[in-house]
Amino acid sequence: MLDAPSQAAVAARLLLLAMTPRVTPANNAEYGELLQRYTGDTGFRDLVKAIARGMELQIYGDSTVHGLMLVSQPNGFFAPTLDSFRRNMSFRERVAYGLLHFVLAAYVYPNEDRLNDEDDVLSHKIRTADVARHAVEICESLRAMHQSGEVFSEQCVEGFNHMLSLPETDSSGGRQNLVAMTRYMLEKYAREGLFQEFEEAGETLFRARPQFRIQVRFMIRETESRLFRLMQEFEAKHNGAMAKEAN
Amino acid sequence: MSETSYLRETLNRRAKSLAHLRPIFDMEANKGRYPELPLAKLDLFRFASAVLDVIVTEMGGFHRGATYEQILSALAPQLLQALPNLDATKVDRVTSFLLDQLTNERERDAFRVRYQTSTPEVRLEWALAIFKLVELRDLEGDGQPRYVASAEAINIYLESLGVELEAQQAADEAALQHFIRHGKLDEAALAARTALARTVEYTEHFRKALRMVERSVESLNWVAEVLPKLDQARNHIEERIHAEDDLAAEAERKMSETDQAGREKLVFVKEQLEIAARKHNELLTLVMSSNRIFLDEHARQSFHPVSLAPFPNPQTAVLKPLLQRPAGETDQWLVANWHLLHPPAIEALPDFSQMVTKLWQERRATETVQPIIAPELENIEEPVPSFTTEVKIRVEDALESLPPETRLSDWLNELNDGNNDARHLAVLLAGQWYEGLEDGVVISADGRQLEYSDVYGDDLLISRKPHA
Repeated sequence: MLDAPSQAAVAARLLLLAMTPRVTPANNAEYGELLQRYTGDTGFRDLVKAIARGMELQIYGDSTVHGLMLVSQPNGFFAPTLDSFRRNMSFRERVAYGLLHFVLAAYVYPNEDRLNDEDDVLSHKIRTADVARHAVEICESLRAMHQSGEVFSEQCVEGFNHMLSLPETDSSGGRQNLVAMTRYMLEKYAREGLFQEFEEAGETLFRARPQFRIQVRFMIRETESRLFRLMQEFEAKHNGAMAKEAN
Repeated sequence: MSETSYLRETLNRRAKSLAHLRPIFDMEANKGRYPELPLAKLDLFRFASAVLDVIVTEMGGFHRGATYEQILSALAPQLLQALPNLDATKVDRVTSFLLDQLTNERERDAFRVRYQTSTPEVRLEWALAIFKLVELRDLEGDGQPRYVASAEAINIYLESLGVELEAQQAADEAALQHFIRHGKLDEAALAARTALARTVEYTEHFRKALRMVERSVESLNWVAEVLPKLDQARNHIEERIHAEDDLAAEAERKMSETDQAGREKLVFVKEQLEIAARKHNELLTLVMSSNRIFLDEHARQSFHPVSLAPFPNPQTAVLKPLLQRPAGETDQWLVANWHLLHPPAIEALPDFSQMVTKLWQERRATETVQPIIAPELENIEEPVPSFTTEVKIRVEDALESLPPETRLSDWLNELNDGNNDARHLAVLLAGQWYEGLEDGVVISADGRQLEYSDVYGDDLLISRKPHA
């Protein structure tokens, strides 16, 4: 039986192992052992959770096969930043990359059932060009539904119009097009251990690993809450304006 | 249940089961759309069954699924039987094609097939069967994906559409017992294999049902609805484990009464039964722990608002509304919430040794390269001689101290005082004399070799003419 400081040391180590890309209980015996202890020992589990809170992390899922799935708190010690994704991005790139993350999530998990599949189910094959095409198709369908209005700055342009302002592909090898940006994003995810990269008939393809499903669950839930709040605010404003008019 | 309602339920179940066959019929019907693949000469029903056969067999093993390589190696000989000239690349492509069809790669979703079902009010309504046939899973977290068949796919494979699974398992065991007792060992081996596949199906069926329960804990009455079913399942599994033990013992007894070939078949039967018993034991553990899983899930879901459970639709509830927001607003929000998109990470610390060896190297010269000016030939200085005068004197003195007929090795021994230049010069001079360039010296070889660490080759005989 370990004393309290040693318990804390191994608990912190478990969290660090969980944050190391591509380390899994299957390829790292220490991680496997610590995870067994996490699953079987309630006291140890509570300690790991407490240390995670101190490190501004949240344990969003756990699996004896795939390990602890961690997400960060906003501005947390280990929170990924824009710079850690890509340095010196322009406004145009930032917005496009941000929205492309959601396009990718919706492409990989086209409905809530796929997002709710068992953790170890891998995604279908993902081709960079297909994701970019999906982005264009969705944005074009949204544009068709909206009347074109005048906007006074690029800040006011709707997300779908912003995306459509970027070329889908660029034969000169530039980086500001949807295919190049999607590839960059997928490669980044693969380095973080959220995607598998593989070759098939000379083509590079990707598959989302269980870790990506957990990340998307977090991302989708949080974003939906925010959108819901925005809608409530809009409705409150609208009702206020109507009440004023009535008065 | 009245006879009419029993018939209605049976027809509903059969209609749904037949809907599960639609993807395989579609695959066969649409094979002309892939002219790059030699599908015209292949019966895709047969090859889809062959794929399912490998997967279901491997699902009974420790790894609980089949790798792509296992499927490819099982399918290749069968494809070559149909198309003997098929090359390895095409075999690979056809295998990929079959798996892509069974996993519904094109739709990136489960299969959704409409079928008609009859309501208790005797009205026909359209319903949607949502199911998967095969899916790819990382079962062991080792990055080695394995294909796993769903309960629906195993049902198709076992040709048992719409049967009650528990009853069929008991029937399979009765058949197996009959074959063993009556010495029909070929049939017994086949029945054991079917019984194992059925056990795998039951496991998948049960896991899926439990998963459905986990998804919607709020909408279910655990005590009234789920616990009795769990009790039934536990009884059923325990019965199967007992039956498998009895059958394995019977197979072992029968071994003493049969010949070598019969014994081999019985060993196979026993192996299948042992694997089935292991599967049932795993399932029993799952059933026993399901109460805890339910309680954990209940606690977890209680903290989420009902409207958010289990997950919103990524496309309609999130992506489309987000794309309609102004870009500036999205930008502000994303800059502050980038942590939603990527997992937490440990910032890489600069590696000091790497900085010293790679990053802090001296700056490369940036001055423009000066043109090389060729000097006048008369101004070129004499090159520095390879050997100093002292070395030359030393070498000559050593040779003089030896008799006129001597060997190179003796000369080198005289120069064995640590001065490598002197030994080097002696070897060069001997080589020069060997070429016949010096009149006063005759050099010959008698096959003996030098034995020094710094010199390798023939030990030469040196004959000097007396000085005039």
